[in-house]
Amino acid sequence: MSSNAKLTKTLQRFETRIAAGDYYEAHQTLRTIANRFVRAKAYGDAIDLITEGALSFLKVKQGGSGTDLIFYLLEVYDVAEIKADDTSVSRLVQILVNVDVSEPNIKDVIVGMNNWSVKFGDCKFGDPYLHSVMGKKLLESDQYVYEAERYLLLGTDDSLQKYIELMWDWLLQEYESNGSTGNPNVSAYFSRLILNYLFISNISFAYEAKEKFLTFYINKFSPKYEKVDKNGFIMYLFEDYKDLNFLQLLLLVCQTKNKELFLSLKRFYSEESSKYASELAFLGQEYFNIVAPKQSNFLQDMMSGFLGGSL
Amino acid sequence: MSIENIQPTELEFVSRFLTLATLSEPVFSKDYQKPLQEVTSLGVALPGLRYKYEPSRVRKNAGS
Repeated sequence: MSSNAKLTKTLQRFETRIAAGDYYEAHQTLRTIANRFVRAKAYGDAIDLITEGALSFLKVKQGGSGTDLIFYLLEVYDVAEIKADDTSVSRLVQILVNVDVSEPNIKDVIVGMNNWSVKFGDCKFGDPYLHSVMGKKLLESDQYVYEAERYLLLGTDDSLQKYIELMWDWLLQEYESNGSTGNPNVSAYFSRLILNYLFISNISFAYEAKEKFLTFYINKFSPKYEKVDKNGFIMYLFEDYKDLNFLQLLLLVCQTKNKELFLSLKRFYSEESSKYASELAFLGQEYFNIVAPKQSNFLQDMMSGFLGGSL
Repeated sequence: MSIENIQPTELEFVSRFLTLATLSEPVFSKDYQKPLQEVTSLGVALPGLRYKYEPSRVRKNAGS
């Protein structure tokens, strides 16, 4: 019997057991046969079998068995040294969208997938397509919003839209929790979008985030502002929000890489510069070659003084 | 007080700043993004927000 025919037969038997609600037997059988494939180094067959098995379990809400097979699949990916490409990533995406958000080990599943894509992909922080799905999935759960933010930041065009919506939705929730009165804490949310995208040199997404988020804000809260268009750079100059003005100019100056302009921006907006001191220190180094002063270590400095600067 | 010490208004500063910053082509175009394959640092970890987000309060119409 060919390997393909054997695989089809195994899957049929597996599906019959699943249909009969005999999940334990189905799980054991599948694992036994997948083990045989792995021992024979028939990794392609093992991967197909485990993937189908995981999807079947997830579809019948057997999350424990489903996620166990996901971890097994990642082990096989690792042993077989499967590269992170369209096929291998799509397979994980297909599985991940079927994992229920209430699954207790959903975060471990996501971390496991990401670690594989770090090890066998081209990106230091993992695969962008996986990140896009991971970010959305974590957002659906009730506890991993900052992890979701990080994955959305390192995702695709699709995750940019989700990230903007997340920040906007978060702002509205805070505003409503304050009785929908007073000024919203707009710069806290806007700054995350601008700074995080500047940190990873994604000027394009920073611009799109600026435009969309500020449009949401203007439409909803009608703040006093003047729209300035200077040689193609559009700025919303707010009367009461220096933070927002500062952040828009920061985006522009990073584009220019002009050190003098960066320093003059920091001088004029001294309050904002103090507020974002460590963020600006990073951007100063990244875009303007301004080496951040070394953090002083009092004890080390004192010892160094005693020992004639030999530390 | 000498004239050099007079701080310009924000509008004056912004107007001058925009003129200088847009005089020549920027180093990075508006649609520039460093490929994620080349990103080696995520910058500074931003502090947590003071309000705890509740994902279950999903809004159907963002921007509304």
